[in-house]
Amino acid sequence: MARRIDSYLKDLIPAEKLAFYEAVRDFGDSEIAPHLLHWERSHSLVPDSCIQAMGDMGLFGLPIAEAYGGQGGDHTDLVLMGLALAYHSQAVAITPGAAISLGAKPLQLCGTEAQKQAHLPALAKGERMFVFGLSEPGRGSDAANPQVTAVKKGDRWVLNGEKCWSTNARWASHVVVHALTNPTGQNGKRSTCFIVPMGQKGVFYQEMQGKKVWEQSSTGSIMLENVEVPHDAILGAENDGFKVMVTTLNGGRLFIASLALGSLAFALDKCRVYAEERLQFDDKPIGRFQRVQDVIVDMDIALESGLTWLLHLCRLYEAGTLSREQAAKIKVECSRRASDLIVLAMEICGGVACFDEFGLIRHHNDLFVTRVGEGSNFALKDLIVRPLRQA
Amino acid sequence: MDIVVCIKRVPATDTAIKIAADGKSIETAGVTFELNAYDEFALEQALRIKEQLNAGSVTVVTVGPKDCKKQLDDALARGADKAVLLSTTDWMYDGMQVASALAAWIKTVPCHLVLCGRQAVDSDNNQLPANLAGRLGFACVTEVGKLTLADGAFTAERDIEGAREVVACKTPAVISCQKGLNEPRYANLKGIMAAKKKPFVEQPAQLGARGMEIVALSLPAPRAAGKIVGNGAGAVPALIAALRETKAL
Ligand SMILES: Cc1cc2nc3c(=O)[nH]c(=O)nc-3n(C[C@H](O)[C@H](O)[C@H](O)COP(=O)(O)OP(=O)(O)OC[C@H]3O[C@@H](n4cnc5c(N)ncnc54)[C@H](O)[C@@H]3O)c2cc1C
Ligand SMILES: Cc1cc2nc3c(=O)[nH]c(=O)nc-3n(C[C@H](O)[C@H](O)[C@H](O)COP(=O)(O)OP(=O)(O)OC[C@H]3O[C@@H](n4cnc5c(N)ncnc54)[C@H](O)[C@@H]3O)c2cc1C
Repeated sequence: MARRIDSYLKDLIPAEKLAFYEAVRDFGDSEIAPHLLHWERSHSLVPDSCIQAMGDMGLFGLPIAEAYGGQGGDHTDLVLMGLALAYHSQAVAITPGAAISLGAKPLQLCGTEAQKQAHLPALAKGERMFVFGLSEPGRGSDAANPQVTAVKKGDRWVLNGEKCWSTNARWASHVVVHALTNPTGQNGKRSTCFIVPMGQKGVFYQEMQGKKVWEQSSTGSIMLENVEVPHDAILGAENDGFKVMVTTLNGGRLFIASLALGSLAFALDKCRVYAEERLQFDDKPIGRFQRVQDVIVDMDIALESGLTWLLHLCRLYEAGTLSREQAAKIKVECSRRASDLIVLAMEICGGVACFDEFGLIRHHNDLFVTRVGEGSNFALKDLIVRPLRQA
Repeated sequence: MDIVVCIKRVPATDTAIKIAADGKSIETAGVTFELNAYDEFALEQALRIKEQLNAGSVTVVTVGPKDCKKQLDDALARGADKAVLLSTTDWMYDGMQVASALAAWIKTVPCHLVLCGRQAVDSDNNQLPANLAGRLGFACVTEVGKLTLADGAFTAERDIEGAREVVACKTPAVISCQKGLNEPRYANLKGIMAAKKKPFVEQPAQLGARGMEIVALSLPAPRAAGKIVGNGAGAVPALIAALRETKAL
């Protein structure tokens, strides 16, 4: 069956971008969808073979320039990958998604030429992955003032503390640690980012257990105990670490919106097909009930409007004119719309929606992450409201 | 080695086929087309041979209407060097005509090896590879499941009834590819962008005389409803009797 989302994308993006989307879609249909249930029921993370296959397809290097061994694509391509993969699994989609939008991106945006040369080619192939080390047990929404510290010792820095919620930690080669370096500085100018190898002495990783969302995605906690790094491990400028993090998050939020829309696209197709197949009362399809149609129509409207908006913002991102508020707003809206609607989507399918193999419950759980990840929606409203309060 | 890969677009395998008003063809409106799955093995094998030799060329060719450009573009994106559309106004079903058009064109280009899918999954005619080889005077090995190249000659392995046959084969040859030959790659973004700059030739197909004509198409009769013979262990004898009746046992 043709996907509803495909009919919208056809008119929103040029032919070669559509061809790329279709290639990733077909990859998802053949290499991910048939295995998902097994991965879920055996509680396994994305298998290495799948990561390798995504690497072979160049997904980890999408928006990395060809000069650094990447695919030379742009943010639209990244978002198209998100839409295509999240249709089946956000957890699979976030693996290359975070590796790029949170891992490689800060390096691309703020790295020195030497740092780019040293890491981008391996990142582009998926042979290396960077973790985005912003969140900590005691610093979630309030991330500007990390409790992880870095203290200068001669020409080296010594890092201590704990990062958590670190997506891709299981496969990571390095973590970009956001650490407090100047406690008495002006707010937003107190921290610095460091590129720390996961194999460095004093770095300990542990998978966070019991997570019932994005189940195939690795989420780690990373302990740093007297970890020493050289001065040139600094990413961006000293005491300008928070800027590195927030600049990165702009693009990341567009990607999170693509995950929400990918899940919504799946739910829409699932429901509109099921509503015509499921016969109740006089053996006629439940799709004839207006209350069922209402939900399907609302999903369709949310999908088409969300896609149009998202692809527009991707163009602004490429042009360098996307504002922080715009990136925050689309993340907030797509995540809450899709996660509100998926509850109704499950309801119009009835009891069958409880089953893992029906797929909706997976997207229901995963959509929660889109509300909280890369900035909790409620906290992001603090940001969104700022220009509205200026007379 | 210059390799030609013959590809065909076919309706997606999950298409609900409808017969057109003429009663002889299928309704194509609303049908999604895709690259014939066996042709993907042929294309992949060609790309691997080129990569192994680090020389030569891979040209993909199809006989069909203009919309087949999409499948040719996909083949370019996966790594083919050049695409040729031998255009026709109609949907092509006659293996004789397609083979004549392909042979006429292949004779005009350097070609040491022709790779095809073992059959097209829409019409299932299974006649093009041998027909084409005959016209070109090339050797022909069909339904190949393993192909190794050494010193300019091929060893091809194919499953035959109850056994595996190993065939030695010199070029020029036509080889038709079976499932299991390889794992086809997906197009990547770089390949898709590079494809736009690759040569794409479109010329009318030189179709020979028709070899056959479809006089009528009909859908298979709808499947009869299943039969419930009973419930629980007590129903086993009735089930066995029913299976014997249908000769399933
Ligand atoms: C699966 C997953 C993967 C993640 N991956 C990464 C990663 O790779 N790297 C990384 O650094 N982080 C990652 N995160 C962390 C994520 O960014 C944080 O969860 C997020 O920033 C919220 O922080 P918190 O969970 O500590 O919530 P808290 O900060 O404790 O906030 C709890 C709630 O309080 C409310 N709240 C907080 N502040 C405000 C405010 N100012 N106004 C109104 N309400 C407010 C909100 O409702 C918020 O949801 C990940 C999270 C998840 C769930
Ligand atoms: C965990 C669980 C435990 C259960 N336990 C029991 C049990 O112990 N015993 C038992 O007998 N049953 C049990 N049920 C079944 C439960 O009662 C049914 O799921 C419920 O009646 C809905 O039926 P259905 O799931 O077949 O949905 P359907 O009848 O297929 O309906 C699907 C959806 O179509 C829509 N719809 C249907 N009819 C209309 C209408 N007239 N107008 C508008 N919209 C309509 C609704 O959105 C509905 O949710 C259980 C279900 C679950 C999930």
